[in-house]
Amino acid sequence: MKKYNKKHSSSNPHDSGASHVSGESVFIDDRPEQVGELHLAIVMSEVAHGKIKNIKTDKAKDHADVVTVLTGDDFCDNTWGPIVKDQPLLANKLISHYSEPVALVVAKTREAAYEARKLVEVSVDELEPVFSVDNAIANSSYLSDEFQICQGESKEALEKSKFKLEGIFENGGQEHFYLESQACISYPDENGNIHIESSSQHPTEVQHVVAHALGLAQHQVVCVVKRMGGGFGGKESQASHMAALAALATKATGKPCRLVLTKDDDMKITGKRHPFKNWYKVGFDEKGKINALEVNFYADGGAYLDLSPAILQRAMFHVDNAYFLENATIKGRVVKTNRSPNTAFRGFGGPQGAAVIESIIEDISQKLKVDSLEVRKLNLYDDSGLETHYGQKVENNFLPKIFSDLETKVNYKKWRKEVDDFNRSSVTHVKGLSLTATKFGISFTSKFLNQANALVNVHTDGTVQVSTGATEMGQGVNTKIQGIVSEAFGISPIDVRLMPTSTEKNHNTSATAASSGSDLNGAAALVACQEIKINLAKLAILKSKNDQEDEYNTERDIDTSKVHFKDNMITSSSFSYSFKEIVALAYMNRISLGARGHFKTPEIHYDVKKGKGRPFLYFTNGAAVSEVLIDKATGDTKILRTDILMDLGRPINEGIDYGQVAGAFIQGLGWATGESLEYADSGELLSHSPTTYKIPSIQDTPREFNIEFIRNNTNTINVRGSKAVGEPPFLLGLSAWNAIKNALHYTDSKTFDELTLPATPEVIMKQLGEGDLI
Amino acid sequence: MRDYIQFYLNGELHKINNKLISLNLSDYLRYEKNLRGTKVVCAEGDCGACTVMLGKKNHSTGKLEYQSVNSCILMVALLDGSHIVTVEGIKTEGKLNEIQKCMVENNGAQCGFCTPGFIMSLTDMFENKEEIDEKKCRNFLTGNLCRCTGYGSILDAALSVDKSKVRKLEDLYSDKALLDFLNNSKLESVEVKTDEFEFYAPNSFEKAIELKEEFPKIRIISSATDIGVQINKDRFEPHRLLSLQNIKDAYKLDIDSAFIKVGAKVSLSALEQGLEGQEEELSEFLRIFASPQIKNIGTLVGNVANGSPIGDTLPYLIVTDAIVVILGPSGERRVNFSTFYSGYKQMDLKSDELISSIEIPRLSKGEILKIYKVSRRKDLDISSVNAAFKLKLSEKNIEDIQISFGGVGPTVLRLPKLEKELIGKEFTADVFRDASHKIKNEITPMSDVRGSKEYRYLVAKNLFQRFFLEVEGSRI
Repeated sequence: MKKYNKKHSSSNPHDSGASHVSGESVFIDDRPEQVGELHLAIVMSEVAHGKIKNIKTDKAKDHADVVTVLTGDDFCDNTWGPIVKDQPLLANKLISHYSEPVALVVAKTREAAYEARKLVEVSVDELEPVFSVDNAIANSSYLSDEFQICQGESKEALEKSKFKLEGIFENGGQEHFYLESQACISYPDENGNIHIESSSQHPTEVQHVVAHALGLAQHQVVCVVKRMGGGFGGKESQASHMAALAALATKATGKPCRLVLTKDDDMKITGKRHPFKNWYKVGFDEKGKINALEVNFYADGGAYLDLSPAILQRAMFHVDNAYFLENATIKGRVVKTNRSPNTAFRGFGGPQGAAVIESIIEDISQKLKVDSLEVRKLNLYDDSGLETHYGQKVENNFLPKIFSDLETKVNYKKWRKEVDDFNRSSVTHVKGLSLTATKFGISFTSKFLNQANALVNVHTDGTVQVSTGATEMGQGVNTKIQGIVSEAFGISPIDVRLMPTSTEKNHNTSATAASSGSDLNGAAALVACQEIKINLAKLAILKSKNDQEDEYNTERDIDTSKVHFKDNMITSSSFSYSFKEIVALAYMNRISLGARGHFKTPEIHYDVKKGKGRPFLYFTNGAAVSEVLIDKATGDTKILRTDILMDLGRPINEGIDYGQVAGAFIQGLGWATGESLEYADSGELLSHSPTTYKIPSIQDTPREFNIEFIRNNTNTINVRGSKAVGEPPFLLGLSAWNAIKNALHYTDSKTFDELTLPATPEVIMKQLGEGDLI
Repeated sequence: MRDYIQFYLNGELHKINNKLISLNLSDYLRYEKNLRGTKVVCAEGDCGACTVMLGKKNHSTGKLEYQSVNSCILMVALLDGSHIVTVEGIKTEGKLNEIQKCMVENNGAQCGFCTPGFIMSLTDMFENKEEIDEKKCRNFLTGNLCRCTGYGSILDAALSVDKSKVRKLEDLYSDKALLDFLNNSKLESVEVKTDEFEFYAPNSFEKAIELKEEFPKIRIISSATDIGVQINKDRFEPHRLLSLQNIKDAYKLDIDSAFIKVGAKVSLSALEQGLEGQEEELSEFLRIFASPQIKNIGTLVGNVANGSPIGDTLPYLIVTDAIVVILGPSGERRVNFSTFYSGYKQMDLKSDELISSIEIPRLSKGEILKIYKVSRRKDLDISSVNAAFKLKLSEKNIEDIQISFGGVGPTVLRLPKLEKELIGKEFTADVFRDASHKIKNEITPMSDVRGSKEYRYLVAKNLFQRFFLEVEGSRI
């Protein structure tokens, strides 16, 4: 099934593997309760939009085990937001979405907290809610201004185009469904200080939001993240919200306070992947070469801004996916609706952007009756240094090679013929085949976020502890940094331990997001390693010259370029000492064995007003081809086979990267096919548990699933020549959606250009129509 | 009569006679025993993070069996006479066991939150299956959700396990007292009464009926795969529960040439095993029905008594003319399944009665049966529409036909008008096409979270056409 070499030296297993499989890994709610610890439950609104008249907490407070009930008025400042502080921590004036937190019950037991929350009465003057993009546009309900990116003259080019298509493309939201729901514990520290243990991708933001909400200075709050039971973007900004609630309870009671959401509450309260509705026009020639593209993106931001503008921007950047747009006018705006505030989710708008053009290409191929792969190849960025619609040159571009290698490997022409033959003969089923790409821009699009710091401490026995701003959510960032540091010192990975992320060791950090965790934090760790290594190398040189010195002075300039750290040894042509020996000697010689490294991504810039720049350090590329089988009676779809080819540069850990590619693809597959958010007319989320919200199960993965990596040594710009992997393969889930679209093109259906995403069985049946099978 | 329940946990005997018996097992493990390796995500038996192994004597076969169960919806009271093994209890000599090692080496764990559940489901698989292949792995892991790995590395891990190095739980826990407890204890009546909660597990149907007479509102709890969810989600608060778990007769599974007789406590897994090689369509359906964790404790009778309009076995029981065997103070009565339900969760069952078994007539020669389940996700999903059709042909004509749909009305439906109309007609595409268009006259689907009304109408029609194609295909 997999095609990576497990014996590869870089493939040491996940650093938490052993404790995960034995159940010994500690997540938030696995921490034993302290004496006197209190439990929290959130009171949620039961309308989507309305003015709060009053919140009656008396009855809940009368409950024997309830300590207090808190509302927004109890905060020093009740507002928060990762970009703009527009969201109440506990709504106390206006309800803006169904299940919005309005009060917090603090009780001696979990049961009491959940019982008592039913006793809180919230009276509301209801207002008309807005639930769709169309409705929002009609009501001029927006969260952002319009953004624009232009290249060439799309209007003129469109007019001149031989063929034109226009349409609307809609894609739905997606629940993160991290297995560990939002969770945190707030502990009181001396002198009114607060210590938070959180399941967060962004401890620094937790620290800042808590401090701001409680009126504390930043140095009074420490946030520690040991690990998360999954994040996927859902704990980038919104974990801070939960932490502020727990901290408020600690401030009010002086006790440790535990807030662990149930899966149902978590799904109802927190934001999702942004649904988008997009209007497009495309012009192309008889071969399918795209001459002009115009897209108006509307992202459903939900009730509050959260990270929406950045997510919309990334959608606009990725509307080209892997295809050159000579003339393009891309506009976008975030609408405000009465839904939970939509937020970061793996891909961060990128999938929503790429979905548009991949869908368009499938339509072009249908219109011209040519294989969609030919249309894709015709439009693919080549290696001539073309610029994206936002003005970034596409360099070191392996996309043409990926396409041709994959096409050859899977024998695409033969495969297509088999699909054609099947569809000619089958009455009950129809197959589809499609090959789609990913070209994912790596870097935060907000320039200042592209920095990281790391603390590396070498102990006197030669073992190392590393702390960075990266948070471990399963993606293996700690294992990769372990690999980077162990290789830098030439020691075994088991001698390097990654420590919990804490704002007292690494401050002013960025969220572990944008696939950048290993790039930024790994690079920062390497900077710190270099500093230590220079001292150790100098010491080894001095020792080799005179073994008997009282105290070696490493503060002078010594050329260390010929000294190597390998196989637990520090060597040059003239000496060879064990790493441990030199480390121990360094301590005796009062030489620092710790260092803090800081890294900032070079060469990136972007001008939002002009819509031009170089927002990304590089691109991670790949392609996938999927074959689907649709049951024409029910719309039920099976993924028969998927082949993925990824360019990850020189992977730091192929085992970890394989897991990222497989996991991201299946998550993308879920978004594109099966995961559907269902709401009542009132705005209440109905699909708020796995009984009604279906993420892919082990039966939903492709029956044959091949993942391979391409060798690429040209990406010298990133740490150790590797490439980021977290998000890019998510977009390849679109290969299955496009294969479904392709399958529909084989049927008699005439309305296939209306296929929406996700393509659930019901959505597919809408396209297949009511025709008879017999 | 005992006034406490008793079970082993990771090799240690526990006796409980207080309100802790009303907790679900996962809360008991995590918050009372500080065994926090067992995780809870959905609290409704749908994700498998809480999976543990339950060892118990199979009263149908007399053998000790360890099987996976969802601890989040399993009430502690139901553990009487069993041995629970959690992820903390499976290391060998203090070291990771073979399954655990393979999961580490293959990076089968990413965030780690679902991992203990997967480990326990794999434990079940290696405990109970001789031959392992990818398909079996998928089937055994149907009830475990992972959001990180995409499952590939978990499959790799499972397939790389050296079976000869896996120690069976019976071997790992071979203490004589424990084995004696599991194999040789008699089924005794149990009554545990606390201020807020009473639990009864009599050891005969007679005593169970007496309890039903004494407490008309007492709720029978079978394996709690639905009640457990209702309790967790605040939709039901138990005060007085009656379990048939200590009634030996309830575990009877008789398969003879005329009937499949399924006792009230026969688990779906036991039924699946018992049917192996027989009644192909039902066997196959049971294979894709629910997850191992649910099937290992869920029962056919529970499915019937719950009366959901979308219960997956119900259309099958209708078209086979199954018989519901009901016990009450005045003895036994037998009700044809087609007349058992009168409306949404309304059934022909009085407050002092209980269902002791279901008797399913075997297919006779020439009868063709098909069962269908349509859901958003193929596995472990509640259906939007399900159906069963039974057909007998004589030469070119339809001699007899039974048609049943679930999910298209307040209860599972039989379509007598259409059946009547079809009998005697020729078996042709035209006849079935016409008939399929008339299905809409006898069903009343609604729109809900699982599918729209329009979709259900369409699928009902198509399934009937599909049935024709499959029968026709098998005749060629």
